[in-house]
Amino acid sequence: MITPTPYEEVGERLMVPNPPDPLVPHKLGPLELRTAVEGPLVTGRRIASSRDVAALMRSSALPGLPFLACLNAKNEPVLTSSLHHDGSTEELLQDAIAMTLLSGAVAAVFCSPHPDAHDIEMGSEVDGETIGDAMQMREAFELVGLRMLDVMLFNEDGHSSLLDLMVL
Amino acid sequence: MDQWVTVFDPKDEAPKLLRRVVVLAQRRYDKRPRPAIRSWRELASLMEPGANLDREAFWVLPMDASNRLIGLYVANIGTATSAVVDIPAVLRVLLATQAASVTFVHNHPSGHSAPSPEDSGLLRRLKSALDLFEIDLFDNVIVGQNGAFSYAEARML
Repeated sequence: MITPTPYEEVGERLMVPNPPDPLVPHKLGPLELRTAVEGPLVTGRRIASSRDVAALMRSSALPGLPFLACLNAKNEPVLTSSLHHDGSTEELLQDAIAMTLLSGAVAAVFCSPHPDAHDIEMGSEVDGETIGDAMQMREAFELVGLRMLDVMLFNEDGHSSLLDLMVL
Repeated sequence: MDQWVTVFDPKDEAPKLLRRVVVLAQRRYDKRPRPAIRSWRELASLMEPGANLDREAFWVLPMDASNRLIGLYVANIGTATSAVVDIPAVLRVLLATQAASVTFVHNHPSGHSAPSPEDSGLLRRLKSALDLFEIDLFDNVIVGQNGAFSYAEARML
């Protein structure tokens, strides 16, 4: 099935670089981020599909934590960061948007741990709360003039893109 | 003042005037200690030179928790009747300056400072974006040769 996608179709797949230094700082410019976790700063080739997002996440995300990739107008990652999430969705959302803005990015993809990610990949339905959270995140990004390109659910066994599933 | 920044196309003549507005505002305000802004009229007075521009410009004035100006940014230069404001650019300024509140100022080259529906629409979008970051909107001021208009004064915020 061909699904509509805002990803640009390019002939080459994302080449995931080895995570280099420097580490993502807790402070981005003067802004102290509350949820950013130190991790590899990965910038690289254009994100062209959800598979590229998954590859980037596998190479860069800290296990079990939400992960954000900020993209420039060419869909190239300019900043990636894992985020610790202790229950405050608002703080997570604020930091995700702030990181996207201050990195000079115009779009982002967000990857969220989800216990049923693999089951969803195999055909199970996405629960309403997850869809609601993803929609809230996309609307908040659009409110400030940014794009949330995709929200990816993942667990140890697999991943599923809400964009590919046409629920975002 | 920490930041006095103009964003412009160097080939354009209008930026010279914009730069002049910024310099004049800086001279009027940049004292030690920095005075707290107590009323919109102080802001209107500070930005009065902007009323003479022949095209619309949009300024972002981030403020600290004591209502002191942190800087003055030209967010955009428009035409004689409108200025398109890049909301992400405005937010970048406010996050980078760690503003507690902000006042927006723009001019009406027509001379009349009454707000247009487009002005109010833009302000609604800006306010929604500010709310995400809990940044207070101190005021939205329009300056024109025939006077100034304050959204706060008119209870339109």
